Amino acid sequence: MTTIPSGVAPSSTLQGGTPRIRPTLQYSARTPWLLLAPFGLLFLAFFAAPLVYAVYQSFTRSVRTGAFATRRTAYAGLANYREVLASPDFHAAVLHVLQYAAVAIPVMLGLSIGVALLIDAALTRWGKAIQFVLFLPYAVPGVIAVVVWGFLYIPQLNPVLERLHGLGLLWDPLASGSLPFSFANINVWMFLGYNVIVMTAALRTVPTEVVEAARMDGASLAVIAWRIKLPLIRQATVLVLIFTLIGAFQLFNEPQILRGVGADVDGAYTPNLLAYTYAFANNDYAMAATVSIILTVATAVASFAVMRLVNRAARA
Amino acid sequence: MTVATLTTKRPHVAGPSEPMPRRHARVARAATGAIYLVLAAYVLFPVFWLLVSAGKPTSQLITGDNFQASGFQYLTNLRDLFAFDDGIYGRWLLNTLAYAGLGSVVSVLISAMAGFALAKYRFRGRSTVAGSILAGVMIPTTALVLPIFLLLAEVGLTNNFWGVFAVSLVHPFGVYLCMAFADASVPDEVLEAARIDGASEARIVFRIGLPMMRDGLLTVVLLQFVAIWNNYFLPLVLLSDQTLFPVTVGITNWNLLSRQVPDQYRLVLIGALVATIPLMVGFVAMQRFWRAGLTTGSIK
Repeated sequence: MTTIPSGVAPSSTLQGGTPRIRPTLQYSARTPWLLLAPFGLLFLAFFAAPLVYAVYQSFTRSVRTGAFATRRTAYAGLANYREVLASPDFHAAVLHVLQYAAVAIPVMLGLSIGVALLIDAALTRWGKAIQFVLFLPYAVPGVIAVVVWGFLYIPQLNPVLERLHGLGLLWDPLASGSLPFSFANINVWMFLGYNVIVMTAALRTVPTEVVEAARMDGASLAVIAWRIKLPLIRQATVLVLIFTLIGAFQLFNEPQILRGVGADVDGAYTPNLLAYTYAFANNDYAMAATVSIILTVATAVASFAVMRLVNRAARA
Repeated sequence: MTVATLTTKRPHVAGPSEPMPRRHARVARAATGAIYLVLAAYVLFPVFWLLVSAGKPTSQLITGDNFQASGFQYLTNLRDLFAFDDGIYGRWLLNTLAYAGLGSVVSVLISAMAGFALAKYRFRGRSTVAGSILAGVMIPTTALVLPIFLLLAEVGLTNNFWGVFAVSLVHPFGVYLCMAFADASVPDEVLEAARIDGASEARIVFRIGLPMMRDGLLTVVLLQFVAIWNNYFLPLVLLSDQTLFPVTVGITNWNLLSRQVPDQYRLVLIGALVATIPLMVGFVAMQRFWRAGLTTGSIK
């Protein structure tokens, strides 16, 4: 479809007014806005408006007044924020996110970089195949992956865990101390392949001449990987780091679903779960909105900070 | 020191062509192969476990005998899956298909129009619009789900098919990708030539511009389809009527139920398998487009 239709009479469909012969290379100023309108309106309705509305809610509180104790919404200033930030539930939730991130980030980054370097070094002809196999779990809907791993975390149902128990290794993936590892495992399983593809694509942009020159100078594969390839895939590394970080802030499916099969999790295990509990167990929408806003701001600040830090480190 | 002769030319791939003792090369290759095997086993084990367990009777599941070679009853499990509760599972599948199938096509159309406008037109306010959409990429949708619920509750659109459908159309990352694709695959000269020939802007966009982005748009359709198919938090929060559920919310409800009703385990597993297979098949069939999409989004 690269043929250019010629001899078409100038039409006025997007111009409204009378048909006219347009001077070349000009278009109505309305055209781009008409193209933007459908997405733009939905974006305003379901992205911008909820954000604004949540900010508004987070500054209000429902109070009962008068002889009949009618509910009405009152301005609450920063009271909700103070209450959330001071609550032990919130502190515990943040701690859980940090524990999870402390496991998930190094494992995810280490594995995706390591596997991508191996594939890129092309020592075997199986690189493409392993890349594809690792990517397969991405096709499993996230919650179904959690449900399946939930079964696999029960020793009687998982032959591997059962063997380990037989050998005296009594590891319980659903005990509270194991949870950061169990949750991280599910996410590594789901997203490792995606991240490996991102990393190998970035590695392919490393100029072959640079690698060749290093080889001529007698550099080993390990030195080439560490000194030449790694610094050149900084961008992709930051991307994977931010994805994993955002994933940690948003943690919800794993604790929510595994709670149902006996994991040591309460309704305030992560900030997202806490917001959900505020909204649907306590009917306290103002507090739920407050937690959501704190979460959104924290996520944006963290992503931005990571980018700045890495870029500054690169310049230094 | 023996200098290796395994300098087979491999264009575009950083091959092992540097001098390396042959024995070392063989060890390195064997080690790499072993690592690949371990990784493949790790990734495939849960899939294999699900495949086997979904065909088993509850008695074997509960006692942990699900890896026995006998007792497979896929057909019974499938029949029971679609018969349970007046066939609610089939309903969930159709819902998911509607949310994801229709949603991804509509979503890609509006994203492509927006992306094309931002990439190919110069107009006042362009950078502001592009900037807010990019900011939207940074804000994770899960943080917005509760506020969306609160807002839709005000206008009575919770527990409504179209509420979930409309929200899942908004995908700032899709617009970003379409912008990149329009930039890369639609030359300005073609649009200018069309304008000189007097083509209308509608024709330029829908008959010339978007068709040139076809491969990229297909990638965005796939990404959107999977994203909506996987959606859980949004429908969980917005919907309470189980006839509107997508399959993800339905299965997790059953999963909770199975603590009291053990026979439900069987249906959870076969239901999980049935909900996964279409995506897996789609993935294998459309590998080429995945790679293109993932890498476009990440390298820039």
